[in-house]
Amino acid sequence: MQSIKNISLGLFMTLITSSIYAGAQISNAKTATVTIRGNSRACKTQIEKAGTQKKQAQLTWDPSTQKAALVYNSHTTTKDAVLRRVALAGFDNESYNAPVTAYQALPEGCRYKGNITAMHPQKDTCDAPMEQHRDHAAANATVSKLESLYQSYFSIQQALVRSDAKTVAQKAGELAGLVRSVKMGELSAREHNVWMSVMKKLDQQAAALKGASGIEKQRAAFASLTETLYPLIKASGSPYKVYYNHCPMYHGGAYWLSKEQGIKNPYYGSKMLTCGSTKETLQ
Amino acid sequence: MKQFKTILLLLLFITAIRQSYAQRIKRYDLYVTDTMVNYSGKHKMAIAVNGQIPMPTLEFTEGDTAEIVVHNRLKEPTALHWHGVFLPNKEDGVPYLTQMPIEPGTTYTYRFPIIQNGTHWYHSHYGFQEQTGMYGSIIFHKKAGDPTFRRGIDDLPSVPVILSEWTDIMPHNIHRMLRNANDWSAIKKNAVQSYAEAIKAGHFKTKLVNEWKRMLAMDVSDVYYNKMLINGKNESQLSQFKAGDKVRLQLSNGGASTYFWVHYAGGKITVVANDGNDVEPVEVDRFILPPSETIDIVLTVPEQGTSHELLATSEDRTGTTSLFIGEGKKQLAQPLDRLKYFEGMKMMNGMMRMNGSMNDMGMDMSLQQMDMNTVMYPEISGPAVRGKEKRKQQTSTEKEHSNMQGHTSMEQKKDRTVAARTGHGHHSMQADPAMPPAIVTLNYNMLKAPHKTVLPENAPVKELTFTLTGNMNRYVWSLDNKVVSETDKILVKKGEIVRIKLYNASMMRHPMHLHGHDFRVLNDKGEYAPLKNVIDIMPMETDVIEFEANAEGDWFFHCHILYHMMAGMGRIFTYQNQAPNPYIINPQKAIKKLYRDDRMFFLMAGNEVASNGNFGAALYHNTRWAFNAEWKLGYTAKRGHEVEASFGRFLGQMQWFRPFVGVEWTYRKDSHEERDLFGQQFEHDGKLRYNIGFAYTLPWLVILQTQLDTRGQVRVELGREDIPLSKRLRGAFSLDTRREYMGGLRYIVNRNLSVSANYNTGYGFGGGLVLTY
Repeated sequence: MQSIKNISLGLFMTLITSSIYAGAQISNAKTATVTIRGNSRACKTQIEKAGTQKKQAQLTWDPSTQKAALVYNSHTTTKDAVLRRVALAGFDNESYNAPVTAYQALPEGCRYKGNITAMHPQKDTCDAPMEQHRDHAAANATVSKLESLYQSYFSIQQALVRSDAKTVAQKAGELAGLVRSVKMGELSAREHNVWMSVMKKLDQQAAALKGASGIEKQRAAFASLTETLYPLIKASGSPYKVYYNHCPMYHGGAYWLSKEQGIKNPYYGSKMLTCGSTKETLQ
Repeated sequence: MKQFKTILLLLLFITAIRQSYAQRIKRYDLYVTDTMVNYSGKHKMAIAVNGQIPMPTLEFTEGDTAEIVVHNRLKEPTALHWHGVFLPNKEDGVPYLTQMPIEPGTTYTYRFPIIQNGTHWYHSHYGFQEQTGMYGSIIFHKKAGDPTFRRGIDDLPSVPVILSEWTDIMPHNIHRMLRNANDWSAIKKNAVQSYAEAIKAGHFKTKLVNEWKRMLAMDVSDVYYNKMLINGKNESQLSQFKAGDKVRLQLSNGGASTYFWVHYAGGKITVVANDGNDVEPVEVDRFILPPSETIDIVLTVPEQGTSHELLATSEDRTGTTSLFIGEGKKQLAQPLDRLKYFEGMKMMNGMMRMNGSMNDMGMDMSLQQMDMNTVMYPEISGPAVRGKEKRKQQTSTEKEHSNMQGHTSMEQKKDRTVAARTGHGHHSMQADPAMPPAIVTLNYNMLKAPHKTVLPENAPVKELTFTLTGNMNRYVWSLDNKVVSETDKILVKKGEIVRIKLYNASMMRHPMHLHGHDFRVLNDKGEYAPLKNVIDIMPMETDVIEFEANAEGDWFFHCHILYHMMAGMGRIFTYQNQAPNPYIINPQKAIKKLYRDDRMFFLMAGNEVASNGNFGAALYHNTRWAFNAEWKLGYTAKRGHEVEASFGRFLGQMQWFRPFVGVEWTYRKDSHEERDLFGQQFEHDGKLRYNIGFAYTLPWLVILQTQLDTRGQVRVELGREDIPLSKRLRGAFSLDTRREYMGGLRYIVNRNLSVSANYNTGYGFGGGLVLTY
């Protein structure tokens, strides 16, 4: 019995000692000189940290020559495996170019290629059709008198997507003002009818949103505001497409209106950004 | 002379016609052999066909007749299934259902006319052979003059690409470990989600609630793979393509259980076909390829002298494989970061009811449009925030709210760090601070057939509903809580339309595959609903598929995750009054062999050799039945010996309840009468006692066992094993009404060995080694 105790104790000891001595030396060592791009001393630590791995590889980079001395265990790793890690940390080298996003994540002083943009900026493709819609809207004479009100709603919606409580508060103030200043006589007949039924509620809800403190309260106020605004914007017949979207999770189901096709959920910020579905497209 | 000319012309014309309509027979010989491979640094056994893994790519043109001769040089039987191919049922390659297995040393010929076009693949349908190398591409080209030929797509240079995975552990052993809820895979994947890790991530409560709801740690996949492969290699290059070139890749997922995320360093991906059927081109940033699906994509080589990475990442993000497209230096794609498991766990907690069913909160989810796992994707929902930082951020946001002015600088700073960590550059921040990039992911609602796919209007409709059910803890997967062997074949009539509604009530996604038919996936595209033969259903989703019953035979409909199929997740469709299959002489006997798969028993055993005694347990179980044995043997008769055994059946979908009958024997030298908590007298007298009782899994996975023995004595025991304290440390405890208490700790060294320490009222303190199988 005592011997079994001793065995297990011994086993523990070997475990501990082997972990202490790990990483001391690289066996089956092979050396190579590799080219790695970078512009300053600041990059040095990052490059070396990315390339060096316990017992596997040791990388020493010289900023002046953009060359690095690499010692690696040729049985367990390869030169390319080390250079791949260096590239994934953001540094182009003789074998691999860094992914754009990894490069952009480098600290400013370390961006040796200056500021580069992604090869396929998604922004442009998204915005282009919207721009057209706006032009179209300008050309169209029958722009609703409520347009500015809608625009401020959309600004709030976009700010909620970013969880930007400050902008929401600011735009909510603007919205509350706009609701008060609507001149009923200038509205179209259809709008007028709906306006009469939602006016009071809209005023209260805009005020509630303005007064809401904190992003969560703002979101709750925004949910009820949307429901009131929906019949109105439908009656206005917007010159561009408006998407009526549904988020089934938020407080047992909530809607939001958006100018953008594709789901960007304002109720959870980045957590559940793409949760939801378009229920109706208004135009 | 003129007449002669016309005759000659006519003759030429006839021969031309005969040539184009002649049945062109194309033959392939496949030699199946055992082989040794080394993907991970260790030599392991695998199966090669014509000396290669994957199996060779077979190419035909629509109208050809395929003749594929299989020479089985293995020591075990085999059978090949042609996935997604329309063919006579007897050529379908499901052993014991459409043919008898191809015995070792024999030759077998598959022969069928090619009546479709597109990207398909083939694999062994025998046992676990698909996991060990038996998968390959099979491509059917459109014939010349096909009206569906698409210029700019079908005339592009095409490369068949097959994705797969490799594991050093033998697949039948993987299956056994899965059935035994062995968490060695989770340790290797760093996905144990233990209490220590939960506390570190600030998610202690999440973990507690999760276990309270009787869930074991969940991952998006179950098996640890050593390597992910594209065409049998971890990294390869297509250097024949130059800048500006477009290339069409014909991807198949030949992996046994891995879903692959695919994205491209060179920009957008255009999807042009799915499951061998053309779809209207659709541009995406990435897509997930479920096991056994095929997809055709078009990529552009954007730059001279640079090859761009097509990166395939396993869904659990533990492995990647890449294909570089173009010549020159390699441009890497941004890798996908580790999953935020505790965010996923938190989401699961919200969805799971106490009875084990799931609450979709009124969301009618379908067609992969709402991926609940998004909460775990750092590239979309932001990087993981550790416990300390989380608390700090909370207080800082509160502060901002109460005092909105004067905190702008702080807020901005925070935004910047978040953006930097997500990998957003400076430029994107200016446009939209802290806004995650809009990543367009393919889903089934984006697929539109290029032509109408409506089925005959007047045909009778047979409506079926299946609920996909499963139980993670015991790794039981089924439809409507029944496995293949527990159900009859489903009878359909030729000419009728079969409409199937599928609801996934299990916690994992399942790629459901139908043999021999394409079905319409009902989506927003109405008459242009896409045709597919695999449908991936995420948890809580409902999808409707329909197909025309137009090919007689016995057709398998099953989950294409190999280990789920082997557990019995499937059904068999059969046609009324169909002609018997000439290859199956005795159908009753044959089908029993097929049923054997999901009736299989698995052994799990552990024995602790400690300083205070020898303790162990064994479990021999299948989907419904379990034989348990437990022993505690002191080294001296004075310490005593205890042996218990029982045989019981699991009830219900979650299998929390297990009634059993058993036998018990305890002996201790010089034992005297003792009293238990109920005041009953008992003695360790070395006499056999028979008992009946039940075991029930309580919240927090504590097992309550109550039994009544032949002397009328009642005994109640509470206990839990394998409490995940840290990545490799497990805790255990038990207490019972005989005032016997036990507590133990176990540190997992490797798959079969642990170091342990325990305390037991009967045996005292001890330490030792645990061997597990």
